Amino acid sequence: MAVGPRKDSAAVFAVIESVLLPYVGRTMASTAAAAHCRRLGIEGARFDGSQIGQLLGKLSMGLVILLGEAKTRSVVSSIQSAIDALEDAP
Amino acid sequence: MSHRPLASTLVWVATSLLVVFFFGQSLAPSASLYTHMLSPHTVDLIGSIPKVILPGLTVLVAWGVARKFEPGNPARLAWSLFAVGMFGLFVGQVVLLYYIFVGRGDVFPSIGDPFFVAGCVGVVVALVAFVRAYATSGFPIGPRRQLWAIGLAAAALGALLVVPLLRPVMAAPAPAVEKALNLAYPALDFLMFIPAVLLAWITLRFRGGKVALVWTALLAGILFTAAGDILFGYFSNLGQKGLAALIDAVYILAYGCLAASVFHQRELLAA
Repeated sequence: MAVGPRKDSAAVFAVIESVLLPYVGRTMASTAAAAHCRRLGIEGARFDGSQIGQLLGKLSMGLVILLGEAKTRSVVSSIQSAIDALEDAP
Repeated sequence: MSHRPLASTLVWVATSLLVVFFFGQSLAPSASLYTHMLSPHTVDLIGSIPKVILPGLTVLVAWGVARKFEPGNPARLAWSLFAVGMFGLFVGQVVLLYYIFVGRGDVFPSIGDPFFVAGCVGVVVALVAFVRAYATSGFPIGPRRQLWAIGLAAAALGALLVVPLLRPVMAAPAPAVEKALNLAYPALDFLMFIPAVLLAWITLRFRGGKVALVWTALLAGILFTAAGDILFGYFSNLGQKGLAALIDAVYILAYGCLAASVFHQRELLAA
């Protein structure tokens, strides 16, 4: 069941990449989200709120190992805010 | 509290100045700076004190970094083990500094050696723990089979590099303990080399990011420690006294890189 407004998946990936870039570099920033989506079985041109939540949860689990809990919270919160600010996909 | 990158910058600047000083001495040992302006004892202290301060700072900051990771986080264990390993190296260097202070110069073997050996073992275990932590992060660091292949290739390459370098040390006439230690240090470096290569491979995936800065500095520290140990083996077993200044430069560079890595990690954790 779709939860919350849908967002364009390419735009979601772009947001995640731009926020992660300073920490994990371009290669990892551009591949991490897609890799997590594959593992979670999330695909399609649009993501709903639940799928975005799963994806950010998975990203958090990896980031805490590199950045610790406090910094991860702040990074994921930045991603969530930027995703919320995206226009809803039709 | 936010940590500005001032501390890591200071570590890099201090390390660079000291490395230039001792590389200068290795290239021009008769220059007046090393023969007239400074006494041999002062030069010894300039070489020994940073080798205590840098690992000491590394222990404190690495321990603090470990405490910032919540219990159960694999990075907490890895950074704790790294702090414990570095503590062994720190105590070993304190012993060597004591000998310099009392005017006994370079003593080898010494009571510091068990601490160096234990410290190296601790660092090896920490590096393995870091690899495991990365593997559990879920970041796409490569298939497990590929990591195994790289680990095996690193083991083969390490053996190819270390065995020929150790031949002259093995052949040289030296007391058994001295020879055993001169073989043990490069052997431990060899053990460090395998997880270090794996971490370097993983770090490549993070290139350009702040995470890569931490790991590049840490792995450079491991590499220079290994180079220092091999040079030291030649110095002590083969009597190549001309290497003393170069050994100081390489060890200071190694400890500087390791200290910088923990400061960079602390900056990375600052929320």
